Amino acid sequence: MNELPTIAELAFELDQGQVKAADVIRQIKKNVEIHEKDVNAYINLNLDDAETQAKETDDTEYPAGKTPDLAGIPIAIKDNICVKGWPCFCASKILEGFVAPYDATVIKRLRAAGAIFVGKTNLDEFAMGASNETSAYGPVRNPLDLERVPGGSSGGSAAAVAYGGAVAALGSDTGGSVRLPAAFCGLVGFRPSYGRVSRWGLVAFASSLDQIGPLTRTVEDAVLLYSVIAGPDPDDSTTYPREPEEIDLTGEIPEGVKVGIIKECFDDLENRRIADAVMRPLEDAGVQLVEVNVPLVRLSVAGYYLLAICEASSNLARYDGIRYGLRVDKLGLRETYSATRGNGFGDEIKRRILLGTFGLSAGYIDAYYNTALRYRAALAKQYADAFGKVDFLLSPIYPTTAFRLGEKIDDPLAMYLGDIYTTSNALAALPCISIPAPDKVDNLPVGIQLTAPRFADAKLLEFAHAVEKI
Amino acid sequence: MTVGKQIVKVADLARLELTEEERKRFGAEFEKIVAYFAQLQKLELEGEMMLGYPCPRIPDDPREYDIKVEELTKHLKQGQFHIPPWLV
Repeated sequence: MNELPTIAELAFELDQGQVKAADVIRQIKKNVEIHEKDVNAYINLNLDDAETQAKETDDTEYPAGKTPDLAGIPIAIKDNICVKGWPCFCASKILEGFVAPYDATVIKRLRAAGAIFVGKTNLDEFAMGASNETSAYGPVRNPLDLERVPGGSSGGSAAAVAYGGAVAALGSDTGGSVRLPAAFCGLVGFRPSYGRVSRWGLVAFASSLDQIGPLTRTVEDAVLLYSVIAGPDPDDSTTYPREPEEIDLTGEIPEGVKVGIIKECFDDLENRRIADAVMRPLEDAGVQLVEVNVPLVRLSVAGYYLLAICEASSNLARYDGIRYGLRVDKLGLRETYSATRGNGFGDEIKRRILLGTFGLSAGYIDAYYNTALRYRAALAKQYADAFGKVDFLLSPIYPTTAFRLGEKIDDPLAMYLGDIYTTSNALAALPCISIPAPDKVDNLPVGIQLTAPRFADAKLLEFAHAVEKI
Repeated sequence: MTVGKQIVKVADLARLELTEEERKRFGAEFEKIVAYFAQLQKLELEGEMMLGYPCPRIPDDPREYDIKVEELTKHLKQGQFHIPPWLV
């Protein structure tokens, strides 16, 4: 791989005049030329504009101490986040030709901080998938092993950072879509507490679960991006009205910290080498590990998918051929809707819309959707009980390492069940992070997942930074 | 209702045209996945609140936006929307 510096390193080197932002973009161009044809991480690249912007950054003399936090830092953006004037296809045929008329709040904030956008990354169609095989623009391959998936749905963002196609990237995480690709590609993936980061300008999949999060090479870089994008937003009524806390990265494990091992997660994990890889760094550092029970985790895939697909079936009703992208003309409005949607959506989207429509339909809504809502409340209580005993929770990200392309795509339930470790904390709106374990399994990376109480994002990042240093 | 008929009805509700092959395939998958989802119904959840959004929402304040309708659609002509032909 052609590794680029981290955000922290690059910001320092740019500040000291040791490197030019335009040179970094030129290095990215070279990396893209080498890897992109195999990996397919991007749907749209904007490297010439990025180089122009980088030159402008190089030519700007900022007053001492006034350099914007991300001045000249090249960032890739998942193609379900709106960047004004850029195509936003969500990896779907149905949005082909759609150009975003405004910037998402996270984009406005990154722009104000001086970041340079290099392109829009590939994803599972409408961010629905765990392997990045459902994109209408072809699957993304894992740069660490081209026969394997990069994880989904932010697979393009993870793959781009992993091969040196960007210094960092933004993804979105509904039930693991930032953390899983980070784990499979050996990166850090952070899902903030629900409400910490504005969803304005993020194309909706499941509105009560979607969160934007950074994919980076280090926890420090995740903090640098998170500090810019987090905070209340009048354009998103679900953002938490307080500013995020200051984050102090000492790299020290806090004295007396207690970490809970979720018994149900580890008991059910067949690959014991993954369990060992996840636990070893904390054991070696002498962190007090306490077994805790969150029994409802075992049904989190059912609870998560029911809620996510019901919300998706409603959110995706807007793609009808009238307002966006593709239109298949038929004689009659209803026929046009159906034909457009039947032609424009891929298999996984159709499957989820059907299941979600069923779960919300008269006669079934109480047995399915409403039951899942009650499950969510009960699960959140079990998490609250667990956090009465420990400071953080530890679990794996996925039952296996990155699997092979095509291995699960024909068995949707098997694909869904893989999300067992990343859906329960998302349902409970908790902040969680995946950091690479020092030990690999079969020469492939493994993600260590840490979860914190709601809005303890700063504490979680500080602890994850210390664990990363072990 | 058989799964096959259910798929046709649900696809109609969802405004989703399916091919015959899709109806068969999704129908078979539907049965398996819905059976898995139904496990939630065995839990004791009586008395639990229905937690839709995990947080209270801040009130929306209507404001002016700098979005030009002309940029959003190719169907706007001379300040009016061009109506698709079947409605004319």
